[in-house]
Amino acid sequence: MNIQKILLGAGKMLWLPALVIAAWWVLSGTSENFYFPPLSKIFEKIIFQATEGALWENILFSMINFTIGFVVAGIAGILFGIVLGSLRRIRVAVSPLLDFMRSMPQIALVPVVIMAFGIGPEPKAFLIGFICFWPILLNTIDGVRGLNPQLLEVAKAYRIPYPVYLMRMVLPATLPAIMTGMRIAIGLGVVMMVVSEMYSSTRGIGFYILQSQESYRITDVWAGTIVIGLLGYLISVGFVAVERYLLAWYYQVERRRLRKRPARAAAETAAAPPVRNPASEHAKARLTADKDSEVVVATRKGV
Amino acid sequence: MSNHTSDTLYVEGLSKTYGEGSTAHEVLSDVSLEVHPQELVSLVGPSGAGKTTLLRCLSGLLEPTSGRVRLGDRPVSKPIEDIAVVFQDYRGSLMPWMRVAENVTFPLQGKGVAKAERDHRAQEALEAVGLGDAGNKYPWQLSGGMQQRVAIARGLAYEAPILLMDEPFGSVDAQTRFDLEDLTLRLRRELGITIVLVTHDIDEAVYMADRVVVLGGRPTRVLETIDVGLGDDRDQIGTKENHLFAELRSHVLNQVRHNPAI
Repeated sequence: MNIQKILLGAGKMLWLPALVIAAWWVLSGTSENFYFPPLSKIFEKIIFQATEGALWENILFSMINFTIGFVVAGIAGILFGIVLGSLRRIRVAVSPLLDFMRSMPQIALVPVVIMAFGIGPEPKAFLIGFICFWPILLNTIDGVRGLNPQLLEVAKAYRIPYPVYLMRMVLPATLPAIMTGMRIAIGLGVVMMVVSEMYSSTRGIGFYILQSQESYRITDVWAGTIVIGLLGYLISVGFVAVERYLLAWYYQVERRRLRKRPARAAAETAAAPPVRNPASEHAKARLTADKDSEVVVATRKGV
Repeated sequence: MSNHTSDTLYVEGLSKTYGEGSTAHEVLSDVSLEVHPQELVSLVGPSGAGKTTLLRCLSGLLEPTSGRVRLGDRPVSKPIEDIAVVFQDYRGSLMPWMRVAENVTFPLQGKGVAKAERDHRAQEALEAVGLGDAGNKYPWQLSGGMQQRVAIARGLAYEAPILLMDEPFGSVDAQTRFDLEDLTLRLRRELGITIVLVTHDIDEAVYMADRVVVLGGRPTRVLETIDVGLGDDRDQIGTKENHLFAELRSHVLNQVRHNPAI
């Protein structure tokens, strides 16, 4: 790709956001309203906080909590997900518990956890990890359960050792589902990151917003809010890049499959369930609550 | 690649029943057959006759309800390293996240083969199936027929003397199918592999085999075992015009027709 094409591509994607920002800048330019300061003033505030204030320190604090929570949740979610996905008995036994934990709004845990473990960074990382854990776990379980049974046949016929089967066959085959879970987890994790700091903290970007609000520094509130937005956006963009890289094979297979005549692709979907369709994947991601049929059945029994 | 065996594969009084009690469904009943070293035996029968069930028992993937499978005097109650399987669905059996060469060498890790030897064997096996330059590609970059050749190469690199093929050419177009049939016959001639081929295609069963085992009835049993006296050199046009081929084909077709499985 040459520079011209890249610029053209970027232009096609960025003209609308640029227009929105420009409109905001111009329309708020002469604003006297206390609650809606001019964008230029907010922008100046961000620069000031970044150069002379504690902006970077706050971002670092928040991001370390987020990273620790997300990574630990990712590892735990994948490990438990593969075990629970593979072993039906254990899955049935823990499903009522899983169902309860998942249905409960995890934000409600913030007071308990912070009251019990203090306002330092560890309880915050824990809360972020806790909220990220569930979608990763549930999507991993779902991914393992949706594996093509042929995979296990191949592993058995060629006497692949079980740990190798899990690491080199099950894990990559489940990765599309795991990534879907992680994408949901990122959104939830960022919310928890901000909420846990707003509840009580001495540092962090959420704390900065709340503190500014309490002392009526509205421009700072806006600055913090915009920084949070940018942060969330950058995390998502970074994750999508990682996902594209790790799942390059998957997107290639999908594209080739969909390029064929629709009827044939549909027939193949019916014949080979593990080849996932991004549309249904997306739908599934949104319907996390309904996906694990066993869990749902178990709940009904419980009721 | 050394793919020789001197052991005969025996199936003795094998039965398989799925389910229990009133819902029990007997699929295979008292199936006995032998596959001699370097022989190509076709198992042919109508759809639903339990051909795949029989093949899974042969490979040790499925435990029979009664009877047994043995190779020489070793029981085959679980998969053994002397038997490689080529599955019908190459999409499900090759791993799209691994390059072709890795797909071929992957099972060798479990066998404890060193890296250099693995790579050497993969290259050799891929060359044998005419894909010597495809090692660095991904399976999905290849056509269906080529993917099935990769699956065959994986079996070859595994150096199992016995190759079990479950409708291996069922998902490719007719021309590719003929090419794969001839490729399989050539590999067998060159490497001396023993092959058990499961198919519902009667032409293919007769064209490929030294012996055809006709399966049918309800539950499925061996209806007949036919020696195919067509010699070692088969040709898609010549052999199929041969009157002996036509006779065998009609004979097998009659057997299958008069003993439907369902």
